[in-house]
Amino acid sequence: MMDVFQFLNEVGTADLIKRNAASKLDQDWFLISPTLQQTIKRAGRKPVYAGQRLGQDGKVFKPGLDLLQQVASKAASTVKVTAQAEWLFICGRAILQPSITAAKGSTSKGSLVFVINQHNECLGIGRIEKDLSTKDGVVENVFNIGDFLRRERRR
Amino acid sequence: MPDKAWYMDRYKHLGETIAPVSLKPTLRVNTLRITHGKLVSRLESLGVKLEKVAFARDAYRVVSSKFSLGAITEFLLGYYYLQEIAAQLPVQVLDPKPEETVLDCCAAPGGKTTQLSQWMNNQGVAIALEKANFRIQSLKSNIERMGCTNIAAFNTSAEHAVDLGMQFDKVLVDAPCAGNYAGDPKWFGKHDAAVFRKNSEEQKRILSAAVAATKKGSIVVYSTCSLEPEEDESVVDWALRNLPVRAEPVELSLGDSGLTNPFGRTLHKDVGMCKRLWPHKTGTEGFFIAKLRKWE
Repeated sequence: MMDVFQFLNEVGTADLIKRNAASKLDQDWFLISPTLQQTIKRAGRKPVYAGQRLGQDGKVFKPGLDLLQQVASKAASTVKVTAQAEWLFICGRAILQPSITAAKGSTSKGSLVFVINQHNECLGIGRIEKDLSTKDGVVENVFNIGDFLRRERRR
Repeated sequence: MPDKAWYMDRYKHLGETIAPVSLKPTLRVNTLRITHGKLVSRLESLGVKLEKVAFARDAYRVVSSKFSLGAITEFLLGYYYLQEIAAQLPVQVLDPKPEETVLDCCAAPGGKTTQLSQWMNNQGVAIALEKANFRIQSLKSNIERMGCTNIAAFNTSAEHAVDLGMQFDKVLVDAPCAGNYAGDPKWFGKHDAAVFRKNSEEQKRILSAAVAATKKGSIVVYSTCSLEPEEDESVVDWALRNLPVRAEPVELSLGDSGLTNPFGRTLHKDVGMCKRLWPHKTGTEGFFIAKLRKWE
């Protein structure tokens, strides 16, 4: 299982969140402001959601939407994709090299990369399956913002 | 269960009718994430035509779109919430401020909860209560998607609001109700007067708990998407007679005054300060909004 701190460490942004600043509610990590923490304490019961959701532990940590954007803006490795590939990625498909308009950082197999659209918004995370320096390069889909729709369907 | 003719007759006794209404999808711009201008321009570049709704601060009608606005990148990034215009009005009437502590009594799926947070500019504290376990996931997803960070949500009934040990500056009671026919042709036949009366009892319990959790001199907004007086004016009439509150005018440029004599029953005259939105008159979902102030 990868938690939020292991994730931040792996993508080179370990200093983004202090270990004692994050709180865990069931499987999810949150950043909760002192004001909100006091309110929760006064309520005397456990909330199901509080503050900024950082994400959920998993085989690969699934970052919340805000953390995803924050980390992507600082990440060493990103790939920018075409508008056509954007929705395919959100639907869970892999990214093939011809759909990549720009790549930054590592292009070698096994690296985690942040997938960015033409507006510089992060769509999710991929893992390089085949080296991107070749025309056969592939980025496997690890996590994407389409998760919001899938959560509703799972429900 | 009664049919459409039964409702036609019922609404005729309220001085109204049932007329076809064509509801266009509407969205609320999430100013926590994007400006009106940027979102309009971005959606227009995708071929979506929008029209600003004059009487709701962040609302746009979707005039035309070749695809569903509930499944595109801009939606997933939380740039807007698909929310009917009338449903955007209770928060506008409540008018929460950034420094306040606000309670949303019946929160899922989170349209009004996230709108509260937006009006508060992600400051202060918003407490969201939802008793239905199966609705919690949608509430959580929407809070996250819309980038709201001043909310704590609890899986509990609003009837226990006072147990939170807090007194709130503003309280929203968007109560569970029977709904209305606009946008749902099969609505007729699903409910009858017994359902309205049963809902009314729960609505009174929630409103009573909400008032108990409100600071003296502060505002409670009570709303439903029901057109049935049992769930609307009768609940407010009961509140004015049994709870430490007085009514204040709901200042909206649309809607009719609350009914003070539904089905021949004389209600508290201040019920007339409420607003009732008949779909065929406002071009929105049916809605009812009351503004109550707790006595000092």
